[in-house]
Amino acid sequence: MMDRKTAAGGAGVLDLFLVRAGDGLFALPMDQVDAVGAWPAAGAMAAVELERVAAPASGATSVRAFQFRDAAGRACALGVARPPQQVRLAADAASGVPRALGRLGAPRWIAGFVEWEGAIAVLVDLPALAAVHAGPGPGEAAPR
Amino acid sequence: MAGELTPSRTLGDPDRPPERARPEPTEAVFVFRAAAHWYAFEATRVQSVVPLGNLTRVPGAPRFVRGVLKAAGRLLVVVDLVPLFQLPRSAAPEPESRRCAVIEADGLPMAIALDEVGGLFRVPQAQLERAEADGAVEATFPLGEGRLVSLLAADRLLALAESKVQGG
Repeated sequence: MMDRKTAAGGAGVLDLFLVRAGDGLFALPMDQVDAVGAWPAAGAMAAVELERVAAPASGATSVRAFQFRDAAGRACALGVARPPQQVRLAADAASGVPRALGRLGAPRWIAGFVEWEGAIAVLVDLPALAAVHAGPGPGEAAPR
Repeated sequence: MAGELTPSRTLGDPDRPPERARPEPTEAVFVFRAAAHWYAFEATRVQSVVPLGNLTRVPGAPRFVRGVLKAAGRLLVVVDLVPLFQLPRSAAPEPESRRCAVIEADGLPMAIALDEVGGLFRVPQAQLERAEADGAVEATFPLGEGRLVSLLAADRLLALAESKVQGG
């Protein structure tokens, strides 16, 4: 397990993990990530798999886990099926959710969008994602 | 407006000679097709027509939200009228639309996916059949070849889409 707790990158930059799911590209803020390791993550923690949320038809299985904390401070894991890439971008590469999209039901876990090499990645708010989608982790008994 | 649009034309009987010097009041509209239906916006509402390249899907958004794209430095949500209006697709497979119209609705920029661009027209106001107040269609008008075009009110279109989200 590799510790990845990193500050947001300082003034003017964004430190992100970029990961693909289905045909989409997703950006995870490093300052929300405690650690990156193998999936399933060790220990009993709530979990969510990016492929199931973002590309349920893909059927890809998670191989890596991002550990983070939900809004209440509980440990959670996000499973991803493809290897992440670390990037540092200028802060102006990010934009918020367009107001019209906010009115048309964008999920609250989408914090905005990030432009990277001509592509637009969905910027994920991990605690908000956990609030909506996290369930018992692999091997963890569902609460009765 | 993108150069691919056809020149503005005035509907009506082309054989009818001009009777008066005073022109008939007309409304400038941008006409397009979604599935088998023809729609229009007031031309002043349409800022540009742009390609639908590099569209980013938005997971968890309603089906009528095709995605977001960056155009002219702005991030725009792309709305697809086919699922929004629950329009039936024709039996013949149709390639996914490759262009969208950037409009302003309720002061917000957004984009509408286009299956086909009809062009810019000047419609005599006398040909506009006003629709009921509810819904996104504010009027209809004929456009030759038996086509009936629904003139959409951009603000009401956004409100309608929003209401579908809130209503589940």
